[in-house]
Amino acid sequence: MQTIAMRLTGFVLLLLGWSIVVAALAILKPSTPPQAAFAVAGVGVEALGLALVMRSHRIPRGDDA
Amino acid sequence: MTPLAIFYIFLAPLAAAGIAMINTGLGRSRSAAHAMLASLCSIGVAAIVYVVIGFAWQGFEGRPEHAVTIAGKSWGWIAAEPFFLRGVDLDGSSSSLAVWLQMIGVGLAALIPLGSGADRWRLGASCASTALLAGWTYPLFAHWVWGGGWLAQLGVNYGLGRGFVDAGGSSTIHAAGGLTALSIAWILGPRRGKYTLDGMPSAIPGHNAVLVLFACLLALLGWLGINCAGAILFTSAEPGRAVLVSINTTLSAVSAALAAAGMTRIRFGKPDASLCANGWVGGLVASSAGCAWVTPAAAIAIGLVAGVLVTLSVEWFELHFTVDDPGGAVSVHAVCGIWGVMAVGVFGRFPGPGANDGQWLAQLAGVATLVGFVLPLTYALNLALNRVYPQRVAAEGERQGMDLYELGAGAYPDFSTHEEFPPR
Repeated sequence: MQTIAMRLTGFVLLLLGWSIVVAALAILKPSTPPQAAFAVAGVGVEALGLALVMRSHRIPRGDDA
Repeated sequence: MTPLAIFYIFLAPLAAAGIAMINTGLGRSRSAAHAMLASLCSIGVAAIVYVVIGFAWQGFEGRPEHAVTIAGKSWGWIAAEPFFLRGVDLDGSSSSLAVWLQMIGVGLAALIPLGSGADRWRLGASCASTALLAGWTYPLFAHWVWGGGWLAQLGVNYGLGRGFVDAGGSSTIHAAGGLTALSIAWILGPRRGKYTLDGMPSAIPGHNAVLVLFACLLALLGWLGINCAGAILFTSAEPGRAVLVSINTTLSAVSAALAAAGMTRIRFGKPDASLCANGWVGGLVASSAGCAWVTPAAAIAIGLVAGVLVTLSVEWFELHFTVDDPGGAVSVHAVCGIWGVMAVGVFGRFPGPGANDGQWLAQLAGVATLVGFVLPLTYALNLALNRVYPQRVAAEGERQGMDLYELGAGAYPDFSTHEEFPPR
């Protein structure tokens, strides 16, 4: 159950991160530092989501149990 | 331009031949015929589905599309072509050549997940999964990149360089295929015996290193064709740039293979043949996006980084993330594909004043779309497929081998497998 929740959260973060990147492109003034910062932040959110999805698929090890 | 483009597209199927042989050689001998047949079936399903519906969603630059307007800018999100290519004149025009190249490209993308699902992915399920890739995932993303969609328009709409640039398919073919391969590896789970009870991996070496290494040379020929044709058709490179494209593609592949040889020599004491082959293909994958717009020195740098990335990534996925990927498809195609896309932002040099400003941000937007949209989409589609049509073969199939279980005969009937060795 915990694994499924982690997986779902990870995928939601992936989509949210992508939405932040798209919003930064669409809303903020082009080629400005705020736009770049928001886009990089969106990728950061995606990285967090990817880490969660990866972890939720990992086979438990002895030291994880 | 047309005769040259036709010549390059004729070479392209060799890339598919190379990937199919690499997937087969890196799998077990008892699944070799299955792997090759799955490759042929996947190419067939991909080509038919793409012609029936795929191109209708993907389209080509300047052709009809559905778009939304945000803050006065048009964002094309899906093409509006009729099914069965009814809207395209198949007469040597750019759009018709793009259809032909894409038929091969989508087949190549469909082969990539076969590398991660080797030895346990049912034939029927791999064909059904290919239909989802060729009918939905690939055309949607390819429209955004190659069909004049919102990623391609980032330059015109928002002044981000030339918009998202990918000449030979680092993102559309390889990263999309590699992320599908990751989804398949997660959904299928590891092969029996791959991980011990405490999660430590066991080595299951490929069965034919010669096949794998020869396939690298075949793949190079195919890549030369795809990169040259893609650069001309999708990034409006003049035909003379094919020389630069070919030099860059070759340099990137050899640099990556040498980097992988060096890395494995340093880390394990001897060069590893299968990782060197993965490095070679990783270099090809990374070269594709910017092959027409980087210098040869940059192509060497791109290849060197790709070779290092592949060797580290294969180990990380296997050891730390417990992803059983016999063909190294995720590392070679997804990781190196993403690196190739970002390398355009780092090394790309486009002619014209201000043409390079903001290019890295356009490339970053493409990477964000791959990881944040394509990965969840392909995972969800394959998970849904798994619910109605289980993708993993039964335990008995893994024990017998996919050849005997699904095809009724092995690839090497005259060979004895190690389980059948008589006692000495």
